[in-house]
Amino acid sequence: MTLFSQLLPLIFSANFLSTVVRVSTPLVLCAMAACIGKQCNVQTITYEGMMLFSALAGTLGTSYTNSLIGGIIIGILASILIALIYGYFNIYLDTYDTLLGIAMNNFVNYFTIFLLFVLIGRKADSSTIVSYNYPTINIPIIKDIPVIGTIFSGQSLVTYFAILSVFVAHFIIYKSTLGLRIRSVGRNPEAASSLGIDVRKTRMISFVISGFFAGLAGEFMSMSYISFFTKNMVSGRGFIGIAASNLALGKPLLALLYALMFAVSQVVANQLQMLQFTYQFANMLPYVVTIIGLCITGSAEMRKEKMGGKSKDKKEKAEKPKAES
Amino acid sequence: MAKKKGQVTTTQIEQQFTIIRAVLAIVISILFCFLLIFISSDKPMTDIVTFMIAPLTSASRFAQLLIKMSPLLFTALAVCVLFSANTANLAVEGAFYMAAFASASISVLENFLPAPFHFIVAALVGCLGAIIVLLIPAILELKFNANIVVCSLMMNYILTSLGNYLITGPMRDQGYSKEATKVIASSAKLPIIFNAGGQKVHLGIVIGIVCCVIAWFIIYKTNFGYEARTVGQNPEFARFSGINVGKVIVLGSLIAAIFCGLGATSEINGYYRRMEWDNPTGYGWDGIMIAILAGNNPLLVIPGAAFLAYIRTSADVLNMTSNIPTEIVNVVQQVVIVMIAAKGLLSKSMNKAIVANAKRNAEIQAEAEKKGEDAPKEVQA
Repeated sequence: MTLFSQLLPLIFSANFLSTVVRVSTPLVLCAMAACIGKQCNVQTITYEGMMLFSALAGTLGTSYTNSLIGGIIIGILASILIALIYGYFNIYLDTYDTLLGIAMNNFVNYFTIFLLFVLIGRKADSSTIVSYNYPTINIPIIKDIPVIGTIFSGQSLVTYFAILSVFVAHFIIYKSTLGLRIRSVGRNPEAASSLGIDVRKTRMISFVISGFFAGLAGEFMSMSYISFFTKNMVSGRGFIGIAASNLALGKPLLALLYALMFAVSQVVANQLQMLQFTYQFANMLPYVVTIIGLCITGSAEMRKEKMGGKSKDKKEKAEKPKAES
Repeated sequence: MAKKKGQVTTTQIEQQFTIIRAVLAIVISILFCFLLIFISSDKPMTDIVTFMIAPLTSASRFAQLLIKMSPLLFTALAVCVLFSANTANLAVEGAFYMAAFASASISVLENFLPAPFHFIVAALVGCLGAIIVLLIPAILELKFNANIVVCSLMMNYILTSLGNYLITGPMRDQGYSKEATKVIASSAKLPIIFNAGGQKVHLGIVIGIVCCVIAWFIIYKTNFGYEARTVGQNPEFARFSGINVGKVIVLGSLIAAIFCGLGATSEINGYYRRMEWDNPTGYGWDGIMIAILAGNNPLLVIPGAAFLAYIRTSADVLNMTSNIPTEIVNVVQQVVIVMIAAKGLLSKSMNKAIVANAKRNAEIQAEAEKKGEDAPKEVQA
């Protein structure tokens, strides 16, 4: 109880909300990537890998090109490269997505360590090289408003990109021709194809857009959240992003809410650690919340299927003897 | 029904192409590995030679290979059973890790039970730990329709934290400088088969190979195995033909967990003095690669695990003789998975071969009919 009473004042403070906004940045961006994937029915667990690769490429990019912009571009391109490799194998070579996803994630995980060692001679992190970070932005008028100023001003540039990305994703999905194509391919590829939509190309495009968002998310990790790359630094944020978009059924605005919810659980976990609560248990919190979230959406989907699928079931059952004979 | 000589069925062609694809995957991944060595090494040619032959150059290195192979057999079998039933449960990694903790809690007890029984009880407790871990995602999927892939991945993260808590807290031997449990009691230890230059090969590898045969029997010769494979190949058909899909998935997870538990116990009680894993071992992921390479056939797990252990040993040697990090093997492993999982690879030439074969079969049949012989009534499609 004392723990709880200690925790409460920490939660109801502007600093807490400001941290939530900061921590939610990669989750929101990844959730947007996953929303695009969900709408096109090509969601992949490789957002994790895309993020990790762009985190490394971004940091090394700023260091080698000696400019922030160069690093940002290299990071995003790296993420898109992973997305394209995934897309090519999944769409053109018909590779089973779960396996491909695991393999790509593990590939990036070890390949980043390999590259780090070959390029700078360290396996754990890139803290020894000079790299640039995203600037933090103070918004002129808002920064002077008491609570809102603390929350929304003075955040990293990527955080504002993340807020923007929600609207961009919403616009792409619901207001653009491309979004219409993406959704129709996601709903019914055969019908979309009969209308002259190139299904494979649309899927590849949605991978590229996802790669872009995931790339920004990854760069946030190594160029803003911490100022250097450490191995395996994404640690499941990609999966949490997927969970957020699944809970929101691929709707960007709702996904933002769920991503914020996961961010709250993560910040609470951090606060608990500070209060001498066993940190390993605090660390479990975001993952447990994710599993609970998956159970809730899963059972809701199941119920929906049961309600709407009864007549279909009967039909299939009636056809069954034919198939056997 | 009698099949004529020279006639090949489509299934046979498919099998041939599966083998060709596996070989191609290994060749491509090794070439990729050479590429990485070229990038990272200052003496690439010697390093490549070392990489190719290192495990065969001395008895102790070969023993090292056998030691590395033993845990891989178990996790690969667990994955084989799960994947045969089309269960994408990726918590094998966490299950293996937790099983090690569960069994170590028994193994460290001194004067607990006489020699073989102590190990057996420890292994049973280990299995129990693994069962709990593997059943959670399976049941969440069955009861709540929660995405098993993401759920099991989340489980791995949770178990990493839990394991870290156990080894730094309740299970830690406070009198020891590193984070590890108490010393494994000698009555729980697995016997050493032979000792080559300090590399002690323990009984784990023999248990592993026996398990491969048992798993082969389970998958190909039992009722459960048949049902699991049916579920794996066509869940809809399985459901309609009265197979209880839920039961198959739960039973599959149980069997997989038993392999995890046994594997973790033999690894800890065979190779280590104390249980000292402060992070998951990665054997679960290795198991996935081997199971894919073996096409879920437990008997092929043995060469698959040998292949991985071979390149692991090579990489360890390279790590000592040059500046190439051991992660090179993990990178190459993923390339193997992707290449084998890519069904579209060579699919065009496979289809061509199937069509050509069908034509030839038809010709043979037509000739036979002309001659007035008994035409082969059925050429399997």
